[in-house]
Amino acid sequence: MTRILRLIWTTLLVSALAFSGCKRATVAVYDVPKEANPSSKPKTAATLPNQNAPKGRIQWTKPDAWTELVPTAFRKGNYIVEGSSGAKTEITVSSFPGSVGGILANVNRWRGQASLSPITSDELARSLTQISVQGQSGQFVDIEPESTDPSAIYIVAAIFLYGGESWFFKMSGPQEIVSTQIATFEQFVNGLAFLDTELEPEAAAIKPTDGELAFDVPAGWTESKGSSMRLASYEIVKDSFPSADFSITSFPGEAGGLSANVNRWRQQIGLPKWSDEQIQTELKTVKSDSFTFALFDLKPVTDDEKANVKERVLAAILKSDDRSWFYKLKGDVFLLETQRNKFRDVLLTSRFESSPGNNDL
Amino acid sequence: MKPFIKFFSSLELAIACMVLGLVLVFVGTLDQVHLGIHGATERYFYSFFVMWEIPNSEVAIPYLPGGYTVGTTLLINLITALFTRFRFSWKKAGVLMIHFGVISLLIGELVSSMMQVDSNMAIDEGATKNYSEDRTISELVIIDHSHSTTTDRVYAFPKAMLKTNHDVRHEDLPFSISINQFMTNSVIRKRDENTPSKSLIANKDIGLDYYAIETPKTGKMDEINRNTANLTIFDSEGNVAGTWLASLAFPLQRFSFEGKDYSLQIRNKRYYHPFEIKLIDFSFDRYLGTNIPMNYSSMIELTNYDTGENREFLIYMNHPLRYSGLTFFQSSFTPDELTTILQVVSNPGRHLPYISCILIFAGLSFQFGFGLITFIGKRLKRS
Repeated sequence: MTRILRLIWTTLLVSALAFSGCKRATVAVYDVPKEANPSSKPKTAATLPNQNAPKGRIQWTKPDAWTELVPTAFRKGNYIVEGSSGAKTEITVSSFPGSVGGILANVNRWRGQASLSPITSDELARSLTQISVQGQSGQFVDIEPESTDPSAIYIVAAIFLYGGESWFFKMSGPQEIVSTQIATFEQFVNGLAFLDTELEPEAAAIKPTDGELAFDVPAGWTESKGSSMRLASYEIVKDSFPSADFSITSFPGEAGGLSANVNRWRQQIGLPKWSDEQIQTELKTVKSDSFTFALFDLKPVTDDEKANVKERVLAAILKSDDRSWFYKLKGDVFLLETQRNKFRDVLLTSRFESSPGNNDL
Repeated sequence: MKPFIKFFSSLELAIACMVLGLVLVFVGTLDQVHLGIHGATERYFYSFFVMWEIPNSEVAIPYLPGGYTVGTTLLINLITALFTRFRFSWKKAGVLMIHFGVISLLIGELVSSMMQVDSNMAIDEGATKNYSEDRTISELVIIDHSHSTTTDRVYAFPKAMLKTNHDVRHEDLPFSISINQFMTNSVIRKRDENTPSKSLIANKDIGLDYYAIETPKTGKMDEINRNTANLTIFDSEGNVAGTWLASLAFPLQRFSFEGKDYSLQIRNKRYYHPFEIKLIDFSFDRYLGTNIPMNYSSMIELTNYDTGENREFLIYMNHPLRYSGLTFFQSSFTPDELTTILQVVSNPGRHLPYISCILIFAGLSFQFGFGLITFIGKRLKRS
């Protein structure tokens, strides 16, 4: 019994020491994709949306009547106006990537903040005025409260899509104060300055694999929704076959290595894993003018596999010093037989186009 | 050995531990007003002793055993008593289960206190993130922007290494960093004629315009400790490259060293995940015509880098997302309702309290049920 107890105490003591050892401080070293570098996310030259880093910024001048507060992580401008009763109205400037759900979604969000029911897109026009400041068009939103209570929330806002971001200039507070500040707010909005900022030097320098990844889209392939991970996403619909799916993704480094990726794709369609030797045997290369791809044709071969597996994957990997691109076409075994040459054409026409990002939002 | 066993298995020790536990909870709860929940937890429960600092000195003396001491002693007491006093019989199977339940509860709390990691993920609508940030732990990062064309190399020095008058370095960095002063909490002031002379040594970037004043540490939920460091970078021959003021409040400060681009920053510690989360929509629903909250929810799209898995989830109050050993709770949002803040919790011991409750419930039910049946049997026999 004494021995058992001694063992338990020792275990507790060792565990406590182990726990305390876990907390020893060490330097962590890791790689992350460049945050403001558009070249880290190459896209097809087709019609994928512009996801470039913001290239513009807006400057404004604070009206004298407003008190400046410290900007926060989410508020680029943060101001307050106090009424005689002590009630306060906030004026904020914020910007977010993309269209943030569109104007209707944002107006309905603000209507919710003012305790008003949502409106339809037809009704939206009534509270929306098109404005133009320094040639930049935007929308002015007026969300007047339905109640005459001086403390009812009144919201006015100006929205601009600029530099790939949605900019919101918003005043929100009790109507007794907001109604006295509307003229000042309009003056504030009319004084906005839209500036072009240059890209960071390292982002502007064109490297061999910089720019947008482009290829000639084969006939019969239609763009599909995909996901944010995909640089390109296409669907192939033919006859009565289930549709096939084509994607290009890109990751830093080797993204797990050749063996891990090939075997993951094999398992996705129900095929057994290959050994490293088999992978090297099955590896074929496709050379274009600029690149050499590692190509794999993953399909059922044995009778047993043919009986159970109905899908096939054509996959190609392009590697640079520090990044890998994965081309993958997955679909019905017979459908993919008809798409093999088209897949090859995609590889042969792939290139990086060093075009500066457009600003078409 | 016998007196030790007798002492550690005694009922008196168990009662003493429970009374001390009550005292700790009582005092800790009262002190929460001053220290905040994190401060009180660290001081009273996640410590071996509760220390009292003698005013105007740096000497601290223990005046109460802390949560770790009380919990560990109770754990040893329960285990020792189980082996020395307990003789198994079916009549006492319930007591055994209760003991195991309490033991697993204590172990569960120990594991949670040592290994639970809480972090936050703030995501703008339409934006994607693959890391969460620890609100209570910071780090000094040196980012090498010249590492490659597509990636930056990050060297993260944990807060525990940042001590006044200490040097930190990494073998892959061509320079060393000397921490002239580290402040756990501070306020930032614009430089003026009142700026203390010792703050004027910063001669780079933001430090040319601002300086920091040390303030007492806070443990309150709605406040943060603004970690700030005044640091000097030296080359391998001991030449000064410059002195910077880095603070949790500041953005990245870029600099060049031997032709390469770097930046430095004190930021919340980041945990990178093998998946990314995109915020599709955040909703704050109110009861119509009022400002009374009805529901907060975040519609997110999760993409796993390793498996390619791509799914949408709705996270809302009391309906967290459990994924990859992590739990994502709807925690907060920004006033403009365009950014959600998810609490990300990793707790390897999260199942233990459930197991404990089941064991204790089963043990109590068995013990009382057994007593009741015996009692009814005796009464029936008597009648």
